Amino acid sequence: MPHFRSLFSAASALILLASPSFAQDVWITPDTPFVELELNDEFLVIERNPDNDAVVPAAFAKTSRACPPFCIQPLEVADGVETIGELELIAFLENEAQSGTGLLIDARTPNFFLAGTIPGSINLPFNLLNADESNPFIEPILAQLGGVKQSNGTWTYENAVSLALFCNGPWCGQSPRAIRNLLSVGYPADKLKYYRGGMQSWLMLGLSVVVPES
Amino acid sequence: MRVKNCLMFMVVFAAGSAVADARYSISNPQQSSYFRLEYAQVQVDDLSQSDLRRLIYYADRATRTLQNLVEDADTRSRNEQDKVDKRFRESIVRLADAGARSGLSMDQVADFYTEIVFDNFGQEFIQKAGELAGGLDFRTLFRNAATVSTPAPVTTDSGISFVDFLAATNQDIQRDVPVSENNQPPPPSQEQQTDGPVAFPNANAIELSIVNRIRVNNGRWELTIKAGDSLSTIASAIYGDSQSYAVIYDANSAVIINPNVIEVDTLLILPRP
Repeated sequence: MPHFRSLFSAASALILLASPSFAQDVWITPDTPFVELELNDEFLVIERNPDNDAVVPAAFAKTSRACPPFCIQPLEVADGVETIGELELIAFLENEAQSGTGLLIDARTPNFFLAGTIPGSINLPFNLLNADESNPFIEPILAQLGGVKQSNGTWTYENAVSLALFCNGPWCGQSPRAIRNLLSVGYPADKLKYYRGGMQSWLMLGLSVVVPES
Repeated sequence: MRVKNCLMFMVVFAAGSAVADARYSISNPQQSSYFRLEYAQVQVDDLSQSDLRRLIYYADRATRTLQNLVEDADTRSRNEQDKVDKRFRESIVRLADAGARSGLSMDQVADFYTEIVFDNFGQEFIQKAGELAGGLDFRTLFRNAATVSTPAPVTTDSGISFVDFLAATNQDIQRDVPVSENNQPPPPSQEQQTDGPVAFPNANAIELSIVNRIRVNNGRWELTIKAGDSLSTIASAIYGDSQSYAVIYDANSAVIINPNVIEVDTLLILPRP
């Protein structure tokens, strides 16, 4: 993790105050207390809620939303699209996103995004990726992602960015739909990742959430 | 950068910096930070944008945690108070670290922080905090945050509050902590870490000898492998369970290919029990 910096960086003159209780007691992994990121000229920290009594926020505690439409998603959402967990998502932010070769996509509609999202994510609602003629946004979006439209109307994606997509949870169909829409316009499966746990898993682990400035 | 271009869409939002649990609004952190740093005798031009952003982020956090501490202090349960105390201490340590990484002295960090607190909350707030703590001295606080020569005066379950903490650090600084002329923090002394390894109860002689070889390096437990060591013995020594060797194996997958075969002189990182 090349961009990872922690209190324990060798360059730092600071050593933690001696008691371990001064450190984060709820780390991400045994070697990673928290992760600092610089994305889009913004300093971000991903860490876990240090409160040992914290519970999942009420909005994400429901077990039984109606299915359909809120149905359980498969582990593999499409051929060749890697499904990832939290650590892989954080590594994606540190590597691909920080170097400008990848984007973390919150595929939910803006009302969800504006209520709180994963630090470093960009909102690209799944319905803007519908590949039909009634959607005027799909072509400019593909172009912004690095796609190139050919004279015969098809798209090529040699220089397109990698995308990691998520939505509300394993019962949320928004990011799987976004992934299928992208695949339908030829976006390479190996440039797509699916964070199946979504906001629910992220919050269940007490990981940092930001409220975007609308 | 494409990341930026995406922001041109009206429908595409980038996640901003507002923290979800923020209860308070801090006025113009970006604009006013330059003045506050200059007040603290920091050569702002020498700082990179990354340094500035990190400093502002952690200063903002430390300001919120202090406000949390002082306000509603009378109405909180002991357990809640401990959590708020801990959050404050942790935020001070992080800000001290951000300052050190940007080349600031601890006194500069303290003065920068003092200015923010004063600008946002005013003299009355500082007085109130000071009365609670029997004198509020941010320079002392940050000097303590940057040295291990003063043992941490509180733990979360000790029942000691923020007030006691500040009072204790104020006493400690007068007794122990050397301050050089340029106010740089003294070099850290790793020997004085009190969170060093402790053998699991009922450890045998071999396991005790392993524990004695564990070194604490920047807060991490490290062990250099000698002939005869095995992951299961190490796991027995520190976790009390040989089957926990997998914990060590997982943490060292970069240097251990087969958990039954470890090269002598391999440096292992041992996750704390």
